[in-house]
Amino acid sequence: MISEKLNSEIDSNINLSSKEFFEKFSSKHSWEPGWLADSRKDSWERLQSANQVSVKDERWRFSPKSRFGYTNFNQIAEAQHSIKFNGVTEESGITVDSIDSILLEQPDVLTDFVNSSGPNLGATESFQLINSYFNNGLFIKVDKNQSQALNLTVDHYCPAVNQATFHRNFIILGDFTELTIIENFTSKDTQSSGALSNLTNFILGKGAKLRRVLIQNLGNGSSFHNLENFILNADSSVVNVECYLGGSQSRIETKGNLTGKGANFENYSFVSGKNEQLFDQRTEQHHIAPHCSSNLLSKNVLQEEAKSIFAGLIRVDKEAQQTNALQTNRNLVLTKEAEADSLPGLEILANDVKCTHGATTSRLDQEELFYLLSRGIDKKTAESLISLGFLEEIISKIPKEETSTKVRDIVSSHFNKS
Amino acid sequence: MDKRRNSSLNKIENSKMIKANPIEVDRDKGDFHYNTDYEFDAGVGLSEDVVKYISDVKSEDSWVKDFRLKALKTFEKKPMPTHWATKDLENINFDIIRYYLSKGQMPSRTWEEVPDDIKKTFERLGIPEQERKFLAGVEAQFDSEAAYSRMKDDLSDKGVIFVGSTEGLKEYPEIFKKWFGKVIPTSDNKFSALNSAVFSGGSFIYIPPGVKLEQPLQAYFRINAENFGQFERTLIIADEGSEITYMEGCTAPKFETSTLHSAVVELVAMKGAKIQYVTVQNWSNNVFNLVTKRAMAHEESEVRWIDCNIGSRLTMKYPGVVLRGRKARGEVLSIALANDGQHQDTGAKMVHAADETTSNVISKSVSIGEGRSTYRGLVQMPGHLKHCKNNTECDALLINSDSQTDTYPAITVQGDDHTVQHEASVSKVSAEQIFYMQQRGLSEADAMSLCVNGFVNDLIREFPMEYSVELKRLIDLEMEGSVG
Repeated sequence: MISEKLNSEIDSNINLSSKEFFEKFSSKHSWEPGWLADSRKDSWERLQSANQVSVKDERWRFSPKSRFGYTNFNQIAEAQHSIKFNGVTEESGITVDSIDSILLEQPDVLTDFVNSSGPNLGATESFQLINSYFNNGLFIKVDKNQSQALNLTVDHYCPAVNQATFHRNFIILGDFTELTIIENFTSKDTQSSGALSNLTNFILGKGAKLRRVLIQNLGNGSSFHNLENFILNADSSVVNVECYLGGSQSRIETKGNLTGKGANFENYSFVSGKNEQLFDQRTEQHHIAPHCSSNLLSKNVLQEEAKSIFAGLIRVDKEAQQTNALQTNRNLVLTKEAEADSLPGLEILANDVKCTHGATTSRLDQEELFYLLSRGIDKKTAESLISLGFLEEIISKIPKEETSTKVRDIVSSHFNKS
Repeated sequence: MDKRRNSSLNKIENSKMIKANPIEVDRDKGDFHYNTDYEFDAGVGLSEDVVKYISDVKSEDSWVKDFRLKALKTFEKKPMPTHWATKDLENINFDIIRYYLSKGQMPSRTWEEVPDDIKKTFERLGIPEQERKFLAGVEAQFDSEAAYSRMKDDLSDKGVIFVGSTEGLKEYPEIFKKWFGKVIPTSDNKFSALNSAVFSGGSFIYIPPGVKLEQPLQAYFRINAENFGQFERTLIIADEGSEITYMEGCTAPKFETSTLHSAVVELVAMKGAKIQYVTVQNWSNNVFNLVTKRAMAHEESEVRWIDCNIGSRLTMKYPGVVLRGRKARGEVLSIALANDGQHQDTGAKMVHAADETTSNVISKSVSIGEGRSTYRGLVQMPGHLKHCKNNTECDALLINSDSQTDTYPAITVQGDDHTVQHEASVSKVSAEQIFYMQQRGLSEADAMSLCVNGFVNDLIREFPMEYSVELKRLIDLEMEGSVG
C-alpha cells in the first residue's frame, strides 16, 4: 500500500502547471487530509493567476528567466530516497523526519506551518509549484528548552532528466534550542539534468541558535531553485553558509526576517562557476524589530562563460531603530566571457541606523598572479590558489572540518585542466 | 604701521559689511508670480493639434514637425515606468497641463527690451546682476520661450553659438541636426518622448575646436503659470579640445496644483573636449521634475555632471555618460536634499563603450522630516573592452525618524579586465558629534546644521563659488526647525 502511494510518479507529456497534470496528481494523492488538498489546490490556482501577469519584474532584472522555467519537466520524481538523514537521535521533544513519512504517519503536525510564506523575492512559479506538488523534504522541530545541541547532516537528491523534485522543508527551533545542520544537494549521477526545487521555512524561537551549511553540487544540466525564509525571534541567531558549485542554473532566494529585538542574522554564500553556469541570487535582510544586526556576504568566482547575479536588499522598517546591517558582494571575474551583475539595494525608513553595502568586481590581482608565476607555479594552479584564498573567508565559516575540506577540493577541481 | 592697521581695520569693516548683507537667497525666493498675458497659448491638454500648433508658431521645418508628431505617438504608446518607479507618477494629469505659453518668439538681446512683467521676475531673482558679475552668457527662459538671451561679443567672434532650440534647429541645422535626438532617442523613456513632442526653449550651444570658455554660460528656467508644463531641450556640442561650463538654475512659484517640468539635455564632447554641466534645481514643492540627461563622450574627453536637487515634489533624474571613445571620462557629483513632501529620486548611469574609460559617481543625500531620497545607479562594462574603471560612492544621511532613503544600484561587468567598486552607507548624524559641539556651546540645531554641511562639504566645493555659498545657506535654511 505504501509503495503505491509513494510511487506517485506521473508520466505524461503535459506541462506541470496544467490542469490535467494537477488533477492527476491530486487523484494519486487523494489519501492526504483535506486541508492539505485544499492548500495544494490554492497554490495551484495562484500559480495560474501568476502566470497570466506579464509585466516586467524588477526581481528578475538581468536574469534570463526562461532558463528557470519548468517547461522541460513533465514528471514528478518519486519521493522515495530523495532525502537521507545522518545522525538522527531519537529523543523526546525532538522531531526529525522526512516529509515523505510525515505525510503518511502524522500529516497534522504540518497544519501550523504549511501556509508559511516564502521569501517572495520573485520566484513565484517555483513557490507555488513546490506548494502544489511537494512530496518530500525535511521536518525538524525542537521543543523549547531542549538543552542538547543537535547535529545533523541531510542529503537531498536531484532526479534524472525530465523529472522535477519538490522539497518542502520546515526547521522549527523552540526557545533557547540549538541546531547545526549540513544540507548536501547532489545528483545521483553526474549527468542527471533534473530539477530540484527546495523551499525551506526556518522559524527560530527566543534565543535559539541555528548554524546551517548548504552545499549544492548538482550534476551538469540540472536546475536548482532554493527558496528560504528565516524568521528570527528575539535574541535568536542564524549563521548560514551556502556553497554553490554545481548545476546548470540556480535561482537562490534568501530572506531573513528580524522580527524580535536583538536577533542576529548572518548569511555567507559563494559561487564557483564555470561552463555556462548561471547563478541568480536574490536576498533580503528585513529588519522589523529594533536592536537587530545582520551581515550578508556574497562572493562569486566566475570562469569560462559563467554568469552570476547578486541582488540584495536591506530593508529597515520605521520601528527598527538601532539597526546594524551590512551587505557585501565581491566578484572575481577570470575570463572575458564571464559576467557578474550586482544589484545591491537599501530601503531605509528608520533614522538611527548603520547600514552599508558594498559591491566590487574585478579580475585577479595581477601582482599576486605574477608572484606565483615567478615561483614556477602554472597559471591554472595560481588562479585556483588565489580563488581559494578569496573564498576562504566563507569556507572557514563551515563548522565541520571534514565538510570544509570537501568544499575546498571541489573548488580546486573546477580549475583542473580538462 | 598705521597703514597696515588701517588695512586690517578695513578688512574687519568689510567682513562686517558682508555679514550685514547676507546673500539674498532662500528657498522662498522664487515663490512669487505676476499675472502675465500670453500671446501664444496652446491651450490645455495634449493632442496632435497642440503639437502642430507649437510647431507652426515656431515656423519650424517639416522634419522637426514630423519628429514631434512621431514622438507624440511614442509617448502615447509608452507605459508609465511605475513597475520600478514611485506610484506618485500616476498623479500627473496630462490632460490639465498647458503645454505651450509664451509672450513672443524671439528673445530680447538687451535687458531693456525684455517685457516689464518678465523683467520684474528675473530682476527679483537677480539674473542681470549675476550676468554682469561672472557670466559669459545668459539665457532666461520664462515658461515656454527664452525672454532674454545674451552672450559676450567676443565669444560670438570666436564662433561660439548660444541660442534657443528653435533658432538652433532653424539657423544652424548643419551643426545641430547631426546630434539632435541622437544621444537620447525619443523612445528612451516616456518623458523623453513627451519632451520630443512638445519641446520649446532651452539652449543649443556649439563650441568650436580649441575654444576654452573661461566663464560659464548660464540658463535660468522659470515657470510662472499654473498647471504649466515646461519642456526645454538643450544640446551642447563641444568640438575637439574645447572647454565649457554650463550652469542652470530653476525656480517656480508655489501653486496648489502640480506643475510638470520635463527636459531633455544632450551633451556631446568631441575628442579631448571638456564639459561641465552644473544644475541647481530649486523648483517649488508642486513641481514634478522628470528630466533625461545624457552625454556622449568621445576619445579623451571629459564630462562632469554636477547636480544639486533641493526643490520639487518628485525629481527623477539620472544623468548619464556614454563613454564612447578611448580614455573618455565621466563623472557625476550629486547632492540631494529631501524635505517634507519631497522625493528626490536621483542617480547616475555610466555606460562604458570603449577601452580605458573611467567613471566616478559620488552621491550624497540628506533626508529631513518626511523626505525621501533615492539613489539609482547603472554601470555597464561589456567583455570585449579593456581596462575600464568605475568608482561609485553614495552616502545618505537621515535626520528625523520619519525620513527615508533607498539605494538601488545596478552593476553589470563582463570580462576579466575591469575594476568596479560600489559603496553605499546610511547613517544618522552621530550623537557624539552633536554632543561634542553642544558641550562647546552650540545649540543642537546649529550643531546639526554644521554636521550636515560637513557631510556635503567636499561635494559643495566642486560647485562654482557663487553657488557653493548659496548652497550652504540653502542647506541651513532647509534644516531650520527640523531638530528638536
